[in-house]
Amino acid sequence: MRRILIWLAVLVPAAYFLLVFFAEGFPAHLGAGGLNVGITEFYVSRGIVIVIALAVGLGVINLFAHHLANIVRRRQDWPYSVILFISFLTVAVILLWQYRVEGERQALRDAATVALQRLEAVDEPVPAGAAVEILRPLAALLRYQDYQDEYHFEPRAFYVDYVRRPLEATVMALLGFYITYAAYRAFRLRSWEATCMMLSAAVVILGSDSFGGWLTGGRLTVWADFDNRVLNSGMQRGLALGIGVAVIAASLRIMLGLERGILESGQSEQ
Amino acid sequence: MRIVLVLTLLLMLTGPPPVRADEPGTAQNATSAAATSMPTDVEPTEEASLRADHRFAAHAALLILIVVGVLTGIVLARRGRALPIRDIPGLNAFDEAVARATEMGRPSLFTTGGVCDIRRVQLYASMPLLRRVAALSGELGNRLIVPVAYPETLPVHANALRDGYIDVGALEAFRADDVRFLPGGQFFFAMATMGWMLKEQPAACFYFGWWEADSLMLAETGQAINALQIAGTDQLYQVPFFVAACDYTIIGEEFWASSAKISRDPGLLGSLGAQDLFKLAIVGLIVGGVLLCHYGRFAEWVDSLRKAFG
Repeated sequence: MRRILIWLAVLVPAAYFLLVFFAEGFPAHLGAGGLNVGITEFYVSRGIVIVIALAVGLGVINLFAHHLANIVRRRQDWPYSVILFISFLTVAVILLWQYRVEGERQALRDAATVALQRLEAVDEPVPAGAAVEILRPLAALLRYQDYQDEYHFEPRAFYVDYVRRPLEATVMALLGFYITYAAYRAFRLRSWEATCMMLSAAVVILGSDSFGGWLTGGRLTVWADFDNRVLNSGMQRGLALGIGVAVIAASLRIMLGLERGILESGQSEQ
Repeated sequence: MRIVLVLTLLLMLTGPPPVRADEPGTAQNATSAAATSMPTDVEPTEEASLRADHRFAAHAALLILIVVGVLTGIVLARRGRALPIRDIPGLNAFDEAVARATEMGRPSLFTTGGVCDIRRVQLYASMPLLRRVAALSGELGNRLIVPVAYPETLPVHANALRDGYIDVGALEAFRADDVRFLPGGQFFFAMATMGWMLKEQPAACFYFGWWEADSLMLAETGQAINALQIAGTDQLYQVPFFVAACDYTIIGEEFWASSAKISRDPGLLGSLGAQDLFKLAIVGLIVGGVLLCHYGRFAEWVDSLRKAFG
């Protein structure tokens, strides 16, 4: 029973998305009305959002329960649980702050829109006090915009631009070092394969550079181009063909429940 | 039986949808699927429409052909008529890698990378390999650690690990803490895994699945701690990094053959044989097409075929 349920959980969405893919290109004169998946897609999208929201809620409860227990019982590495709570609360506060900032901005915009509508409705001179009342929301919006221009601060943007992105960029920067080090090791002449690789790399690097072309009267550029466009592309296309067919076959096996890794996993214990 | 169920399900889904006036995509929109896929103010020309029809028919025919071929291959393999698979050096080195780690008293590591989420077919292709490494580890009494980047793939990894231990009767070796979810996305996963690698010093590292920029980070960390490394991916842009940094690299299609060779599952073996036959057919089509292009009468036919698939 468990096996069938898992298989159906895999099959139904897979069949659905396959159908959506084909429905988009289905010829109109062959009865395309029968393949209109718009409504199903609408319900499925809503269903997915609901499931994700529930999953996130459950995940947060589970995470809190687990790490709270770690802290209370002083389990191994419990200080990391404290760090988790601090990080979680920091990000939550930043996002709630952002929510408040956006709410204030939207309220000002709404008030300004109402004020403009009232202004347009005025067709006779009004007392000064009433005019001020009408124009006040507009002035508030303008003041807010001036303030935003001068002291622009977005909590979420601050977190993304000044915390997360620099951290990611730092990690990404490590790649440059790793690539250089790996290239140095790969191009050492240890075997004839490594020699071939080094010669090929030298031709491509020098051929792609004006210095290499100048040095060999343009011949190296032609060789590098041949290497890239013929040898390399041919090999890549050949591999891509095989990989494409393999991916279709693997997807089909999963759809039909023939993939042991998914359906039979964990059953040997039960 | 399953195929009939699949076809029934497809037919049910393709039936006329219930029409409700207050829902989007109904009433007026439900009259034609074309309304959902192409702008209404542009009328497609007859030629363009015909070409789109040909393209759809060509793609559908190709897909059906592959599906029928793969199913036939599976049926034949179940009857014991699977094609033989040649030796893959990277797979043969699995035993050596885990044995080396055991001798050195250090754990092994298996990861599918920071971008291999539940939607990637490569994840499922990697699980028989994880199961194999787990079985070897269980057999030799070696510890296997598995960093995971996505929460939804954690049970998939944990099940494969546990199944591997069960295969050799070493379930007691399974520790839930060895399959660790390291959140935050690709680079944060890479950093956390690198940190874990430096702490645990695994002597055998296995990288299989869908890889992107984190491939070199982990493989270089493995080099730094003097681990025997085996990698396998069908991501061609990552293959050079693995080749440069790992001891064995399983490239492209070999990756798909690996799980079949290790698991000896008729389903995998049969579809692998069918894939090879399809590749041969495609190569035949390419060579035949190139030759036929030189003859005027056939050239037009080849060109129309190319346009249909293009």
